[in-house]
Amino acid sequence: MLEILDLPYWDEKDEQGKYIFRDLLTSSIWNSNVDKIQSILRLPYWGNPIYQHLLTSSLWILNAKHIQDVIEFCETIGIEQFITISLLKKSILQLKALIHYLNEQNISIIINGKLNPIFNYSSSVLKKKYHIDLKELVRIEKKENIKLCLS
Amino acid sequence: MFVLEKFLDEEELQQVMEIYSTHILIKLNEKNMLNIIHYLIQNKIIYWRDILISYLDLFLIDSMEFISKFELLRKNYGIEFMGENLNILEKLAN
Repeated sequence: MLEILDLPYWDEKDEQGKYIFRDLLTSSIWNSNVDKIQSILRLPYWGNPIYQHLLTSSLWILNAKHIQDVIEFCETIGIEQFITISLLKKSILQLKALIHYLNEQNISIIINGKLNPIFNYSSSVLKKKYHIDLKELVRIEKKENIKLCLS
Repeated sequence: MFVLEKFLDEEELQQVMEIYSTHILIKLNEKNMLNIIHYLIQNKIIYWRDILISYLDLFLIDSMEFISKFELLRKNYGIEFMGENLNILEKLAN
């Protein structure tokens, strides 16, 4: 516990003099450990204002590499300002599959300045109400990725 | 992990392993998880698997507390609306 509190990050301030990471010191941090916490806080994104809303205690449960992969992927398609904690809880294949589906159907990824609500639908609602089988889309995406690797 | 293996298929398990830090998987209490899963199934929450995969951290909450918080959300938003706005479940984590 002391190791976590001794990390230097808690004293880091932004340009306005506000502590960047102090709000992350909530009870849920004790479910984590010092290495996992450092691997998240070391990510190069937190100085960028567009990512600072992601600095919530929900980050502690996530794999640092996955956070990085999602942010990098969203940056490549230019939707980084729309990343939410919920989006960070999707697998890369799911994100790619949904993006490809929207592109193929000529549906906008961004609607009225927000991410298309499809990203918030549960897979069962997607299937039942919108006849979109996310699992199947992910399988297709996986196959496409393998083809790309082999070509 | 036993509970996850019981309820999720291989692809879903891979997804969980990709997204979450391993320490969270170790901290999950099986009995508590089962209580929550049974509550969701009994209450016909068709997206219970989505909750298990995408909101696994909620299963760290004591089941009684989870149920009372979930009931409150259900009353405020309705089950169908929640299924189309899964991010509402973030409110349970706070």
